[in-house]
Amino acid sequence: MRTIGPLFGRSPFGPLKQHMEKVAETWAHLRPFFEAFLAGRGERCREIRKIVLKLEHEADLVKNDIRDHLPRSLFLMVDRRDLLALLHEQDSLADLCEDIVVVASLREQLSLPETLQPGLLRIVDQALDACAAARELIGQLDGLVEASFGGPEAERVLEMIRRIGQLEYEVDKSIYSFARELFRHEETLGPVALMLWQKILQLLGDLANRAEGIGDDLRLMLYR
Amino acid sequence: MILLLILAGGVVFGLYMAWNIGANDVANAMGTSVGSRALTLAQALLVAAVFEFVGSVLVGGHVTETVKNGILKFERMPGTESFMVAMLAALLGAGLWLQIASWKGLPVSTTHSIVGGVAGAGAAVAGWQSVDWQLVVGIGVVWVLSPLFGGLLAFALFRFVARVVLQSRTPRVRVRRIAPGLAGIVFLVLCLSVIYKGLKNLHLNLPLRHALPLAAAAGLAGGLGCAWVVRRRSPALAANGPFGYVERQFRWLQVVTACYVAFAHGANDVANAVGPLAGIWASYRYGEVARQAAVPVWILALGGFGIVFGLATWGYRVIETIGRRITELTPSRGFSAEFAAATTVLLCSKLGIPISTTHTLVGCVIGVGLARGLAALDVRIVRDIVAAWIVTLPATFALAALVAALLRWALL
Repeated sequence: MRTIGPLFGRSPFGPLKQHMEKVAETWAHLRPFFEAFLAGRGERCREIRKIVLKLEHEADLVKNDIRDHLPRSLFLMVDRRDLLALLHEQDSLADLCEDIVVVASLREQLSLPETLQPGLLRIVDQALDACAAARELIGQLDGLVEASFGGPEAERVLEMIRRIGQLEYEVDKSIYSFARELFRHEETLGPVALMLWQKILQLLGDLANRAEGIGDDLRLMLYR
Repeated sequence: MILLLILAGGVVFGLYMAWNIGANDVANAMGTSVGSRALTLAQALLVAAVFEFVGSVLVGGHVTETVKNGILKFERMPGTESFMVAMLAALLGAGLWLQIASWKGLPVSTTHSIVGGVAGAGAAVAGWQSVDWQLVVGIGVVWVLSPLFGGLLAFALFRFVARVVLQSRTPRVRVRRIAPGLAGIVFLVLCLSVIYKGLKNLHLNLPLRHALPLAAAAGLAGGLGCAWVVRRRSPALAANGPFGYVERQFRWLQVVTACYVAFAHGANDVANAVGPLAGIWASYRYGEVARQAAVPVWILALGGFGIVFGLATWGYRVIETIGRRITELTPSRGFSAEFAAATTVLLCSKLGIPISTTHTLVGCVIGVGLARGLAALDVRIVRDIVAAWIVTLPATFALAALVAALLRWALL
C-alpha cells in the first residue's frame, strides 16, 4: 500500500503513564506493610510481600514493552535517552519497594522501640508523598505533548518539579533525625537489627531520590 | 481505425490511472483529516469527491500541459501516430508499474511513474533525443525540493501555532483570533489559483489586477464565515482539558485545509491520468502533433470523474485504514501539515510541475514532528520512499519503452 500510515509511530507517553500507574500500585502497599510489620503481624507481611513482588514483575513487563517499541528509526518529541532514563527512574521506584519489603523480612522478629515507630511511619509517608508528586508529574505529559513542551503548561510542570525537590529534602531531614534517634537505642537493638534498619532507611531515602530523579529527567526534556 | 483504437485505449487506461489515483493516493491526503477526527469518513469522501473534481477541472490543465507536450519534443516525433502510440504506451507502462508496486507494497508515486513512462515511451518511438531531458531533470529536482519546502513551511507554521496559541496564557482567546485569518488565507489562495491564469475555455483567465481583488474578497468572506463559526462556540463550554477547546476550533480550520488538500491534489494528479490522453486526443482531433491545442474541459472532467470513481469503489477503505492509524495527529498538527502540503502542491500545479502529493505530505508531517509537534514519527518510511523513488524512473522508463516498441510493431 502506498500510504503514509507507517509514518506515525506509537507514542511512548501513554505506555509511560501506564507504567507509572503500575509502579504506583506497588508503592501503595508500603504503608500497610509497615503498619503490619510494626504490629508484628507476620502473616499479613508475607501476603503483602508476595503482592509487591508480583506487581514489581508486572511493572518490568510494561517497561520492557515500552523499550521494545522504541526503535532507533523512531523520531521522538523528546530525546530518546532522556525518555529511557525517565523510564529507568520510574522502574527503580518499584524495585526499591520490592527491596524494602524484602530487607524488612530478612530476619524474623525485627523490631523497633515503640517510641520510634511514629517517626518511621512519617518517613514512609513523606517518601510516598514524593512518589505521588512524581506520579502527578507524569500525569501532566499529555498536556505537555499538546503544548509542544512549552509555554505556561511547561512552567507549571517546572514548578511541580521544584516541589518534588522540596519533598525529597524533607525526607532526608527526617531520616537524619530518625537515624540519630535509632543509634541511641544501639544497645537494646543489637548490631544486626541496627544494620537492617539502617538499610531500610537508606532505601526509603532512595525512593525519594528517585522520585526527584523523575523530575530531573523531565526537566531535561523541557529544556531541550 | 487504428487511431480511433489508440484513442479508445487512451480513454480506458487514462480512466484506469485516474481510478488508481482515487483508490490509493487520495487516501493519503484525506487520511490525516479523518485521523484527527476533523472529518468523519463520509464527510471526507464528500469533500474529496467535490474538491478533487473541482481541482482537476479548474486547475488541472497546467500540469496536464506539461505531461502532454513538455516532456517530449514534438519536432523530433516521426509522426502523429508515433506520438499517439508513445502516449498510450506511457499510460500502460506506468499503470503496469503501479500494479507491480502495489503487489510488492512499495510506496511508489503515480507522478514519478507517469513522467518516467512518457520519457521511456518517447525515447522508444523517436529516440533518446526526443525527450526534453532538461525538463525531466528539472522535474526531478522539484521532486526532491517539494517535500523539503513543504516540510519547512509546516515547521514554520506549527511553530507559529505553538507560539501564538498553544503556548500562550490564553490559548482559547488566541485561537478565536487567528482562526479566521488562517481560513481567509486558504480561501484567498484557492480563489486566486482558480481565476488567475485559469482555464481559457472557461473564461477564467483574469489578469492579476482583476484576480487579486476578487480573491481578496473571497478570502475576506471566508475569514468572516470562519469567525462566525468559531464565535458560535463559547469557550466556557469547553471542559476537555486546557486544549480540548483549542483543538476543537482547529478542527474547523482542518475542514478548510482538507478541502484545500483535495483541491490541490486533484489539480496536480489528474494530469498523471489524462496528460497522455490529452496528447492522444489533440493528435486525433487535429491530425498532427498539436502543441497549442488547449486541454479540453471534458478530458479533465473525465479524469476528475475517474478519481472520484476510484475513491467511491476502493479509496474509502484506504482512507478508513489510514485514519485509524493516524490517531496521534491532533487538528492543530493536521492543519499545519495539510496547509503546508496543499500550498506546495498547488504552487507546483500552477507552475505546471508534476509532483508527488504523498511525498510532499510526508515531508510536511516530518516538518511538524521536527517542530516538536508529534510524539513519535517512524522515519523508516523515508528510506522506503527514497528507494522506491530511485527504482521508479528507470523501471517505468523501461516498461513504457518496451510497451511502446510492442505497440508500434503491432499497430503501425
